[in-house]
Amino acid sequence: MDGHLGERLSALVDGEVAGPELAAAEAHLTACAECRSAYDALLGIRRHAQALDDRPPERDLWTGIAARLSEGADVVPLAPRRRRLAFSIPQLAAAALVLMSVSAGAVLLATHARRPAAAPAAFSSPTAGPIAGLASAKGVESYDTAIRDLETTLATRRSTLDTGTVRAVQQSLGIIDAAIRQAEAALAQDPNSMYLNSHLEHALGRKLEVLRRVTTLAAAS
Amino acid sequence: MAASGDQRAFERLYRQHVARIHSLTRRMLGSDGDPDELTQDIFVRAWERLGTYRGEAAFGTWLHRLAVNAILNWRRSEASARGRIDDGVDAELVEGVRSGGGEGLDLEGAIQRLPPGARQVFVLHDVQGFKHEEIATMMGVTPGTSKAQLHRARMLLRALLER
Repeated sequence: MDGHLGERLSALVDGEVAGPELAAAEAHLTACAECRSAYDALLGIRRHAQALDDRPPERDLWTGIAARLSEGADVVPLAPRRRRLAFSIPQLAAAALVLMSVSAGAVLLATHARRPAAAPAAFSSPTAGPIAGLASAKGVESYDTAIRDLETTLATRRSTLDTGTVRAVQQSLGIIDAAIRQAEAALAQDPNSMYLNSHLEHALGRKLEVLRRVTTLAAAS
Repeated sequence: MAASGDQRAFERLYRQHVARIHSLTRRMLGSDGDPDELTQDIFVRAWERLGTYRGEAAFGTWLHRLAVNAILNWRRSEASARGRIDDGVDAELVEGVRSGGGEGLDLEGAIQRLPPGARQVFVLHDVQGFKHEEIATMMGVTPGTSKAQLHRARMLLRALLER
């Protein structure tokens, strides 16, 4: 290997060197105190950089931001997800099981990790939550309406479905409903939780997709 | 939506994320701009674009990516306004490192002294954890350029910190 390692030192520090090139570089490092010293220094800099703490600004910037928001910067509400899912009923059932497992853990974490009583009164109001206020209230309402409509439609077509499908659908919806109830219960304690609001909306979206799919299936039967 | 309620909710998000965003802005800008002003711009932009946030990633991740793009766009427009390509080459600063002047600097202070291109790549890679391919895409350079700038930044930092 000619000369010193140069830019390969950084590649070594980042673990981007492999094979014969790595063996050659390691041999060079063993023999070259200058490159070894540089390698140690660069490794230290990278580790130090990864551990840097974030610091807030010295002055409060919110006042200026709030003034600009009041001048007319509008927020566009989040629309309900309209992504079409091409899953089979068994797949939806499996997904619902996963959803419930994740939900249970996440809701437990959220409810135990947060202390709503310590939050400022202004943020404790259910109508002032980040998602409820910023984005999701209309989305959740839209889901509720769509879900009610589909449930009504499905009730009239249930007889066209075979019993296995009905059982799978009931199981899926039961799991999703449990997730929704958990999210709603957790939100009652922590209405400002962005995660919980998003999670509720996601669960409602799942339910809507299951209902849409099974309604389509019933119509085609 | 009640506008006052929305802003209170958004203020909470601001309080939660401002340290990270301001630190990113301060490190990326060095002495070339006002991190307070750009941080405010980023949060106003986030407010305006909340409709594009789908909840598929954590809000902090979404905001962070928006901030990186805003900072890089600011850098590009500044470079364009100055009529030069912002390729990170700053002979004066490099010479300053070689001739001294970095005594007693900590890493934060040393980062501020880096040439812009090297500083941005260093912050994005070593502090923020982006990969060279991602940095190359965001900055409009090749991954090889990103790697070269990173090495250059680290060597300059070493020189600054060992004084």
